[in-house]
Amino acid sequence: MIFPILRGILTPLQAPITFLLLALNLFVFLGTADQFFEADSQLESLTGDKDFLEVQGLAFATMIRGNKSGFSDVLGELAQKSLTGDIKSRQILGTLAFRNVAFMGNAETFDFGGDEVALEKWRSRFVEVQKLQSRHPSYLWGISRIKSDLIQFVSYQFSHSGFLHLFWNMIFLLIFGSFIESKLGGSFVILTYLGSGVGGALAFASISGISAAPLIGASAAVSGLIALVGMVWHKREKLKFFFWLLPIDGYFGMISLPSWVILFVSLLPDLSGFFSTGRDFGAVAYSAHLGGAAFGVIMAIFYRQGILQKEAEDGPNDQAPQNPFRKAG
Amino acid sequence: MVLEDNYSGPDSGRDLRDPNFAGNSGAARPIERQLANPMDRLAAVVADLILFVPLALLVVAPFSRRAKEAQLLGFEEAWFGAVLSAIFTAAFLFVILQTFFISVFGGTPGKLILKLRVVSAWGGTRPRPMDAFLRAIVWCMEAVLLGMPWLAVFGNQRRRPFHDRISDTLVVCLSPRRQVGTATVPEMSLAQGFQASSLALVTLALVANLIEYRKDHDAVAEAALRAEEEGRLCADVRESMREPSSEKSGGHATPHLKNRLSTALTMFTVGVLSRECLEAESDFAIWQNKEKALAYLGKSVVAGAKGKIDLQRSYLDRVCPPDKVRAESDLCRMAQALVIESELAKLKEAKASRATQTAVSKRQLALRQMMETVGPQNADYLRAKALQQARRQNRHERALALLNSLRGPKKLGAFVSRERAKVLWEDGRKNEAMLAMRSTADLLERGGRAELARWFCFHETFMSGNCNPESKFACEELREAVAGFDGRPLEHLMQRPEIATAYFRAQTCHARQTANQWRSLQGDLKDENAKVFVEALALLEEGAGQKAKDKFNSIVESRLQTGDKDHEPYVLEASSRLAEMARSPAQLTLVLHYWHQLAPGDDNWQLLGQRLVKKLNDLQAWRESVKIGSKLNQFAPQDRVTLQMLAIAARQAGELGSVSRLSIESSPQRGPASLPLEPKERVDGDQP
Repeated sequence: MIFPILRGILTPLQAPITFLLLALNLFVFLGTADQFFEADSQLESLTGDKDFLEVQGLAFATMIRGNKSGFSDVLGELAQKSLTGDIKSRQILGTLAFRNVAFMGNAETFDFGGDEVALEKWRSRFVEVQKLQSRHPSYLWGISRIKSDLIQFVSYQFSHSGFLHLFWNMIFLLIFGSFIESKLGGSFVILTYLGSGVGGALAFASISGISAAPLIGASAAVSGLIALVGMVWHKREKLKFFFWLLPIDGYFGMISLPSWVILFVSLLPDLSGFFSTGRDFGAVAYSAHLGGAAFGVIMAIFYRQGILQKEAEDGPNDQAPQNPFRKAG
Repeated sequence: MVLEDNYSGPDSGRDLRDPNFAGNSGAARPIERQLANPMDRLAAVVADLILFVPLALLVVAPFSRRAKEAQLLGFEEAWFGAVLSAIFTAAFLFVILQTFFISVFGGTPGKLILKLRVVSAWGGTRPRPMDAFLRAIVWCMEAVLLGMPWLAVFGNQRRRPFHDRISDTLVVCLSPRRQVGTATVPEMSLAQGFQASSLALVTLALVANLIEYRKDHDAVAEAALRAEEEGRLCADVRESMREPSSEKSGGHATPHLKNRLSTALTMFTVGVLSRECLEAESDFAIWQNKEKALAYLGKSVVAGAKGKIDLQRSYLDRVCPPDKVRAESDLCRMAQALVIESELAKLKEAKASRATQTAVSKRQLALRQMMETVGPQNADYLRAKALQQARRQNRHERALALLNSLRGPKKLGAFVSRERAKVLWEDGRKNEAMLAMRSTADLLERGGRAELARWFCFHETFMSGNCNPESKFACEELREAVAGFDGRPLEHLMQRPEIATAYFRAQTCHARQTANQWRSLQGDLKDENAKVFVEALALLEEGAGQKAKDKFNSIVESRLQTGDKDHEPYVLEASSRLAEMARSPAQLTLVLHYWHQLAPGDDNWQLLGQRLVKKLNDLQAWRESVKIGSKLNQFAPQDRVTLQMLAIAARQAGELGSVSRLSIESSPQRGPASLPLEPKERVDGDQP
């Protein structure tokens, strides 16, 4: 395991902008938590029913059968299996239908044919689901087919789907945000954060397409900060990392490594995830992460070209740790 | 020799002063004393994995995507192919990276970070590319064995696992303080022992997993096949159908689909098709938007079988909308019959009252009238429904006529033959029944044959209450069928208690099983109820009737206390034995309590009721006899013999009026007017 530490987490006085962004994220999360968890549990109880999912899967399969060219081959195959009696495929399609814009947008009025009795029951529940979605914080703050205005391109960066999602994004925000703020200034942090968020959303919308499921989280914005650090300091100095090879003294600790390692360990998995996940099945928005990172790279280029100037001189230089093995030798 | 590890060549012990030696630190130490610490080597592997795995994941991403999609679609072979491709591609990448780094830099990135170097054992020089390549390939193969061979860094004197020995390399450390030198003898012994036992354990685990996987795989394949057959294609139905190629094209409803649905409905109605199969067939048609009315009928039948009465009505409204009732169409008649049946089911659950009874009778009559006119001109499923009705009413001629008109796949054919034999027996045409049974046996599998023989053996011995010659043939058939169960008759018997109880009767009647033989059989049994039952049979053979009764009573008592229905055939059989042995009505108290609690039950419950009526008449317990007889008649119109006994009991109990009404309502053709009203002479309980 290798984890970037850089300058560690600075104080709010040393990195006020980073802490402002952190506070905004926390404020949104805590402010919407009650509403979020309530709506989530209601949605779960509505959509967790197997019969409901099966009928939805069959309805989606009928829609796919009517317009094969509009859907991927995998969805086409699932539809075929669903319509010829495969229960598992129906349930999978039923779940995937929630992400599909064409289905979620038209299902209420679409003439599916099929089992009208089952569809009648399903439709009444589906309307309830849509009502719940329209007042769910993730759908109000995130980018989805329900709302994708300019304001959502910003607001989605401050909304999270759970405590762990928030925790890891904030850890990276604190590490990279405070590092950039101490080296280049707060405007770099805020510009990169917001710009990468928008860039991530644009990449997501253009590559993966706006989904019926909402895009939320600061991951794209944080990816931009990571890319900026990886690109700006890639030659000039080594950065501090925590490494853990074996649970034995001497095989874990701090190490200084070139900054490109950050790009390698942080962004390569996103690239692999993007290529290994089909468009219809991605629960993690890899394209948004990559879009955010691309904006971070652009910011780094602007800085290196002198288009953007740093605000402050470098803070007290954090001593890069020596290689523990060299020391031992 | 490459694999010889006792290095004793001319360069043995050579100082690493050669300028070509990548790790030359200038120190004049023999190469054996510069060997790397095994923990450093392990840490280097972890560091390599941290760097190489993200790269490998990127390279195998397309395979990973294919594997995910194949898994989603349930395409096992495609999934396996994609996973295998991913593993080989990743291994290839590891080989290339290792070869490059070792031959160019003298070590992989992890080794370089930890200041380790791979050197040739013959001079401390950097390995040649081919040696590095060979080393990398073997390293990957060892990785497949969960890295167990790498433990040789402790067990080999010069800390060389197989990949080092085949490429003739050593791993040394540039930092003198971290060099460990050759392994000591105790270290090697410990490591070799650990390695050998670990390898043995891993091999065992692999073999066990392989066997388990094979079993799972077979089970999954079987389940998939079953799902394929029952869910998607429903082989039982498909068998009788024409090939799909004979379908008319043009997107309209095809005769193929209609036949298929109609057959599924018929088979389900007579009880030879699973609910899942009918549901799959109906869903298939509905979502193809073809034959929707018939498919809705299928769905309504399934909903009814699931006990979802409201859902059933919703589907029936689609089959035959209330505003467009086409009373003459088969679909509508079937729908109406199902509506009446669901109403009857609701009424039977309602509180008993005069009004409820009238409503039940009214609906029963309507159903009977509706089914009365069903004939060969009607659809198969409607005839199957009429057959069900005729069987329930014990109208044997009508049932035979309907059975003769049913055509269908093998399973339906076997049902028709089997049912014909049973109807003939119930109609008293025992010789014809036996002939039918014998001819039917060839159509059936061993399990079905045993089931049919069980029915005959049980009915013959049960109703006659003794071991008459007529039962011998049926019971012999049963014994033969049981003996033919793959040499494991006992195991099969225990899985089917209803066959086991009939088999015990067959053994009692025709094999003259001794008490010792029963006890020896008892020792092989695992089921507690079966053990108690067989013990009672042994006691009967020994003439200890009272003790046997106590055993039978304990089975019935246990059932009443626990409510456990898993062993119902044993309880029914114990009850019937108690009925056969009773000398006074008081001895039947427990059995009567059980019978009333079970009502309304199945065919065997009815048989036990009939047996009780007979016995109670013999014991002149008229009121109880009327009570049971009336309940039986309410469940289904009874045969002539039972009605006769009921009429006698009613006359003796002074309740003839109520019985007459029941008989007339339920069986207008056979009112009790013509029945003899004199009681038979009292006889003692029969012994089995």
